[in-house]
This record gives sequence, C-alpha cells and structure tokens, in this order.
Amino acid sequence: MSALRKLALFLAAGVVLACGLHLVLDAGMRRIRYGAIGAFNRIADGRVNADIVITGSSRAYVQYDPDIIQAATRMTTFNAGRDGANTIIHAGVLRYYLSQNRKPRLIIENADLHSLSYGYDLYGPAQYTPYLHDQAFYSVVKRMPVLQKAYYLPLYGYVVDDVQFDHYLGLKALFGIQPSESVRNGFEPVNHGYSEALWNRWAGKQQKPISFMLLPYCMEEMGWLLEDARTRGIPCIVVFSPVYHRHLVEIDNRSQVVATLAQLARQHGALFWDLSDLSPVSESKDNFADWLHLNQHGATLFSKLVAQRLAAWIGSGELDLSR
Amino acid sequence: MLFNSLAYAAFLPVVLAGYFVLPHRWRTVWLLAASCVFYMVYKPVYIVVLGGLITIDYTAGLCIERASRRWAKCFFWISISATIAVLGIFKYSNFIAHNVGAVGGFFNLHTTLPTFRWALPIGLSFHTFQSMAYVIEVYRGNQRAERNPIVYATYVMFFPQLVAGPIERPGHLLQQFREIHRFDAARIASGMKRIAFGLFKKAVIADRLALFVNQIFANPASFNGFYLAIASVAFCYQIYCDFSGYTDIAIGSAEMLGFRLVENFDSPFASRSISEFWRRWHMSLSNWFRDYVFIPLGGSRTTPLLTARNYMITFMLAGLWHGANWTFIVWGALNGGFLIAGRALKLYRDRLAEAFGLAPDHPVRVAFGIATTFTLFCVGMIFFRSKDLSEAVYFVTHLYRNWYITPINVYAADFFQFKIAIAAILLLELVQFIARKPKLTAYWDAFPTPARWVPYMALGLGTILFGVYFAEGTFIYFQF
Repeated sequence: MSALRKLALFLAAGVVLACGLHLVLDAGMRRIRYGAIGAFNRIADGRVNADIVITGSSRAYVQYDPDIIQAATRMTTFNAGRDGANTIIHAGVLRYYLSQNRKPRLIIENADLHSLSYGYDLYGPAQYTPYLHDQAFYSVVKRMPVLQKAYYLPLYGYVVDDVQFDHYLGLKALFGIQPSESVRNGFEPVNHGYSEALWNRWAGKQQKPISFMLLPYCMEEMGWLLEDARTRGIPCIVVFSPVYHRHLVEIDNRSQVVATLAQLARQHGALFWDLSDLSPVSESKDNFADWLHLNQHGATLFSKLVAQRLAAWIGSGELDLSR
Repeated sequence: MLFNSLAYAAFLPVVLAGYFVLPHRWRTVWLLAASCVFYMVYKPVYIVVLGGLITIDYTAGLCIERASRRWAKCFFWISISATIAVLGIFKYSNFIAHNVGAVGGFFNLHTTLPTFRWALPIGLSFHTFQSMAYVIEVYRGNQRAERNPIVYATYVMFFPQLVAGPIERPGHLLQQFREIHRFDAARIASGMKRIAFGLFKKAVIADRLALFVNQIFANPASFNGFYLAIASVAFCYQIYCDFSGYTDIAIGSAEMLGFRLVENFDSPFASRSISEFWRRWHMSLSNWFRDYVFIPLGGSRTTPLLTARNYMITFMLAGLWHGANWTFIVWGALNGGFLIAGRALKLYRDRLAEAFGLAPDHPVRVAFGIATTFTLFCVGMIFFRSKDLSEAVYFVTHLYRNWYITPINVYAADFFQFKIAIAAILLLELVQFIARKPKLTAYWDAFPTPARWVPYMALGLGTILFGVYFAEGTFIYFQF
C-alpha cells in the first residue's frame, strides 16, 4: 500500500473512531440517572410533566425546593435550573421541556443581578451535547458558539471547557455505575455557609461603585423566553431572588436592573416579583453559601415564602392556570 | 493563531495544499502570505513592527556585504542597535522607567521616565534574535546576504517558528527556501505524529498542570509546604510540556512542508548536571547565547574568574531576554551560579564518587546527578514563575514548612485531574526513554502497520478526550 493510501486510511479510521466514540458518549450521558445531568435526562425522556416548572441558572438550581412549593400549592413542581446557564440556555431548556413533556400550568423564571449582563461562555457544555440533535433544543441554544461548534464537530462538546470530566460520568453510566442521587426534582441544595472572611474578601476586591451592565442582547433574550411562554399560553412569573443585604446596598444600579426586568416582564405579559431584599432571607449571612446563592437553610426559608405567595396568588384566581 | 486551535487545524491543511499545488517560484510568496495571516490573527497592527525590522535587517545585510570593512561595521551596529531599540521600547521601557523612578525616589530625586501601555508584539524576542543572528553571520562573513526580500522576510517570519522559535540560523533555514520540496505522504505522516505528540504534551499535561500551578502561585500563602513543593515541580513539567509541545508542533508543521527546523529539547530532565541541562533545554536559545554572547566575551578558555563572569553575564542576559522583571534576572543569575558552582565543585564530586567506588555511569551516581539537577532547576523556576521577588522568596522559604501530605485538590481541579497528569507524565517519560534507545525504536518500527496504528490512534483520541481545552488557552513562551 502506498504511503498516501495509508495516510488517507489512517485519517479516515480516526474520523470514524471519533464519531463512534461520540455516539458512545452520547448514549452514556443519556443513561445518567443522578445529579443535574440525571435531571436533564428526565426532561429529555418526558418523565417530568410537572405543573410548575422553574427555570434559571445556579440561583434557581440551588434555591427553589420543588417539594416545599408542591406541598403549599398542591401542584407538582420541577426545578429545571442549570448551573452556569444564561438566558439562552434557560430558554433552550424550557423549549426542550415543552417538546418532551406535558405543558406546565406555570413557569417561574429566576432572575438576578447577572440576568442582563452575561457573556456567551458556557459552563459544562458536555451536559448539553447529547441533545443537540434534537431541533427543539438546538434551534434555541445554537446561539451559543460553543454548542454550535459541538453540533458539527465530533467530540468537541465533550472536551472543550470540560474540566469536570462530564463525559467520564457518561462512560461510567454506560457500564451501569450510578452513584446515589443528590438531586430532588432538579433541586440540589448547597450545604456550606457564608463567613465574615468571605464577605471581607469580596468587599476588599470590589471597585466601587459596583454596577451591573444592562446589555441589549440579554434583554432581547429574556424577552424572547417570556414571549415564548406567552405564545404557548403559559403564565410566567419572573422572580428576582434574594441577595445578601450587605451586598445589595453596595450595588449602584440595583433599582435600574430591577426596573428593567419588571418592564420586560410587563411587556411580555409576565408577572414580576422583586424578592431581592426579601426579609428575613436576605438579612442573615446564615442563609447564604456566598453573596448570591442561598444555602440549604436559606433555600428552605425562601422556598416556603415563595410557596406561600404562590398559594395565595393561585387562590386569588387572578390567572387561569388550567392547561 | 494558536497551534492548539481549530483555526490552526483548518489553516495548516490549506497552507499545505496551496504549497504543493503552486509552482516552486510562487511557494515562498505563499508561505510569506500564510505567515502574515498567521501573525495578524493576534494583533494585525504589529505586522508593521515586524515589517520595519525586516526592512532594516534586509538592507543592512546587503550593505554590510557590499561595503568596506569600516562601513560594514557601521551598518552592522546600526542594524543591531535598531533591532535592540525596538525590543527595548516594547519590552523593557516600562521596566527601565519603573526602576529609574525607584532609584531616583531612593535618593529623593523625582525622575519620571515616560511609560507606555502598549502590549509586547507576540514573539518579538524570538524574531529579533533570529534577525540578529542573520546580520551577525553576514557581518562575520559566514553567510551571504540574501538578495530576495521575499525569501528573507519568509526566513524571519516562517509561521511554524515565528512566535516561539526554535530560533533558526540563516545557514540552516535560509537555503531551504530554495530547495524544491515534493509532496511526500510519509513525511506528512511523520509531521503529523510529531504534531500529535506536541498536542498531547500541551493539552493533556501542560494545560492540566496549569490548573494547579496557576492557583497555587496566585496565592501561595493559602497553601502549605507540600502544595508549594508540588506546584514548583508541576510548573517545571508544565513549562517543559508547554514549550516542547509547541516546538514539536512547529517542527512537525515545518516537516509536512518539507522544512527541517532545529531541535530545541533533548530530554532535559535526564541531565546529570546543570551544564548538561542547558545543552538540552531550549537549545536554539542556549546556542544563540553561546555563539553571540558567551564566546565573544571570552568563553571558558580563560581564567576561572573571567569564565565565571562570562557565565554570569550570559545567564543574566538570558534571564532578561525572557522578561522585563527582576524575577527573570534572578532566575538567570541563579542558573549562572549553579553552573559556576557545578564547575568549581566537579573535581571534589568526582573524588568523592571515586572514594565510594562509583564510576561515572554507576546508576546511583546517575540518579543522584539527575535528581540534583532537577531540584536545582525547580528552585530556579520558582523565580521564573513568581510575579515578583517577594512572592518568590516567600515561596522558597515556605517550601519545607507545614507539610501535610494530602491528595492534591484545588478549586479549579480535583485529585482525579492530578492523577491524569501524573499518568500522562509517566507515559511521556516512557516514550522519551524509548526514543533515546535506537534498539527499541528499531524494534517498534519493525511492527506491522496496523499494530503501530493502535497506539497512534489511542494517542490522538486520548489527547482529544483527556486534553484541557479553553478558549483562552495559549503558550507560556508567547509572552516572550
């Protein structure tokens, strides 16, 4: 065999192997039954079918306890929050959820100070890679450059920005290795607390005044998500979740961020709840894991307060929650 | 353009296809155009700086060759001064201004020199050294001045070695642009193997170790002595795999085009002494300093005191070449000191070994030499990596304190990542060991083709799966 033929054959074999390995990893990832990836697989398999769906980033993922909300509202609840996700991913997850599951009666989109100032980098693209060939999901998330490349290039989505080795979890799942579940209906609380030293470190690092950008494309994407829910006839509440109060007073344009989100919600027929300074949650450091994320204690307290509000609001019959 | 990027994966085949499709007379133009594109991806405007230097040195080469001895010397110094001035302005002006200000402040004098906010054009130090090598060789009469400006520009801008070497001499590379390189699938395959091995070093080892090293060096006070020791060793492997990985990709890319670049590394961590180490680490730079600084200063064929001075000057300049920071100068001085001490103590070491009945190649003596050399190199690299001298001193003075041996675990990466890095380093050492044994390589080459494909394929897929890939990932030596 000539050297050129050998070379061509070797390259072809390499491409075939890479594609094959990609398919194997896809299959493994889809078999994961635990953690955030397991929760996503439940969505993909159409095994959720909840009445209330919570979307958002890590703030949603660690702060909304679906069991508490379910107990207060008597409506099945699922937390579809994703760690390190921006509004495009929230919208993609929601669109995918709706394509695979029964239409929910209510959507809660968690918002925070970062909601209108994110970039296009993505935490853990591997967790989304097996689902990119589902058009309901990909048609939305293709706006993320890393996922667009992952769609076309074998193995790309599994290796870029993946220091957590998510694809390794997929390989383990393929061999039936499934650690015990730590996520309940998509919710995974954080157990550690927030210390005075961490607060001091944060305060020392910041250049004051602290302000958050209001980027037009972020507003557009938030509007797109809310409009998608409205078009499908699903009521939506945008909840601005609690921030530790000593941090909150340091933010120069908090009212501007809140007002912009409120206006966006109004514009797209959604309700807006500003719970950023929610008493007593935001008043105590004991409720936080860091300045922006509640820990388990805070999440329980917050979920109870949200559940009470929801129950009262649903009870008032203000909105039609029938499917 | 980064070698470990998708852009380069698309760029290289296009350049290769164009190069072999075009007739010979257009190939150098094609390579120059490709090199410009490659460089301009970073910051297009800096091509002007390179263009200016190319014009000066190309003209100087012609003038030196044609002029009388007296005028040749004049043109030589104009060229060298201009090249050093460009490097000085971009790389050292702020450092000089800062230190002049500090010294002035010490004497209560308010001396403020202007500082600049511009970034150092990538690879400027490498480019200037290659340009200077050309002018020096022409001045010495060892090299004919290049008449064709396209060929000269391509020689100093050849994309595989443009931003981080190897620093080529005109006698080795320049004439290769006149050779006719025919398409050779076996050579392409060989280049690809070299590139794959370079990517393995870079993505699997260097960038993984960087997750630990960056965090520990960023805040050494947060870690105990064990972590500091691990970080100093890890950094040595990180920089070796980063830089030699880059060199492998550079040599492999050039090989695919039919060019032979000089080797830059020869298993340096197997060196038994510091002097041997510097003959095996960043060889193209070491040779440059040897030929153009150390030997002109008098080299080692003079009194021990003058030899020591020559070593010290050469190493401190080499340190300064790496960066405008006192940490690099101290790093150079330390290595110069190690080398001088090694030479001074050689007689006593040999006598001591003989007293124990250890021949020069006795395994105990070899192991002791390798361990001592590596340890000294690691200590020196703490200065290389630290952001300032106070941090480096803190690092060194806390290396041996509070050793709590625990699995290495930092915020950016866990122990599993560390284990992968260790396994990859062991694999690297095994491959390098085999490569140093001609019998083993011959045995390997005799394997049937499909059997040899398996490890190559495993290396490729393993690099893809176990590599650490970030959008902002770059090579350490790009900053120099």
